Amino acid sequence: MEKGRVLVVDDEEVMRESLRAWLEDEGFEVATAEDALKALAMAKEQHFDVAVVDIRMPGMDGIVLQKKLREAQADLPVVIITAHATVETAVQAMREGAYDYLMKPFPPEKLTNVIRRVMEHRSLTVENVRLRKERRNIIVMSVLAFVGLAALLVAPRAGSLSMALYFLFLACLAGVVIVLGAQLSAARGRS
Amino acid sequence: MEKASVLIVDDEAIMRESLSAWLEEEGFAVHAEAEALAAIHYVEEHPVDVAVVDIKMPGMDGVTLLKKLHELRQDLPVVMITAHATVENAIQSMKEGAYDYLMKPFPPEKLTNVIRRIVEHRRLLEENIRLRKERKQVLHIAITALVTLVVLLVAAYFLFGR
Repeated sequence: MEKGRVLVVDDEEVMRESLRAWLEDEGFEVATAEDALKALAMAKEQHFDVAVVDIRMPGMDGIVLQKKLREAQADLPVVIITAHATVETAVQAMREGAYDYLMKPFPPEKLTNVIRRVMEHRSLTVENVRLRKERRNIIVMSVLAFVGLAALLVAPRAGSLSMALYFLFLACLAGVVIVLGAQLSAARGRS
Repeated sequence: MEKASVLIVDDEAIMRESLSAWLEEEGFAVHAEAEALAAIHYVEEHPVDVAVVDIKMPGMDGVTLLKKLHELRQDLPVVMITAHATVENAIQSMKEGAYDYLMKPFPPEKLTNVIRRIVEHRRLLEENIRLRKERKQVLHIAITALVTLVVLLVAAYFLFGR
């Protein structure tokens, strides 16, 4: 699996740097921002797989930032870091689309675990989109191949109408068989 | 869509009942057990999508139960519930293959969120397996149809083409 790119946003330098050191040790690529505006600018210019955002920051807080981050990168999962006093706000953040929240103090293994889950989820989603596209491409390419092959063979003998119709019929039949077969196998897979 | 089934294992009746009530309201099918052995028997006989297990229980503790459950069903996602004093055990349980852990007291929305993610992940995994199978089948059908078409075309060529 490719290295995940993590954006850590926290106004406390100790927290920021300790998370960076831990996550880099765990094999992630990490970028940090000390405030929301810098984080937003980074999210507009670079791709991140996950953002880890402190809920309490001067200026724009974590809740507003998570919304803005998703405006910059539509499907960016955001993990909120919160102190005990702000758990209600963190729950609110989850209702508004945050992937998860962690309550301080948390063991760093917990954050690694959450980020790994995000990465797994993401890679499965991307792979499923690719597989769907591949399936559609196989169907389209096969139908095109049949029609092309039939046309190629019909062309030199186009003088005979019955022959042309016969080849055309075969090509259409093959196309129908492929499309029906694909749908049947999809229906069987789902049941 | 079929309701995801959740097994709660906790020796505290109040915890069992409140979590059951919450999760049922959230749309899950819930079964609760007060002790580890009963939970093992339940998993042996029923399909369970997610197990939520308290770490500290009399008799068999949660971490041992986690291992036993994974012996029965290696892919069963288990969420551990822990008090502050047993966080080290919770981290240990993650290393042993628990999906996640929640530290008491936690808002019930947190548990719902974890279970939803597990269910969503399983759905993605199942879809992935199905799509891989379908791609293979579609390719197989396409090749079979192509070979059949070529055979028919060659036969037609010899029958009418000359």
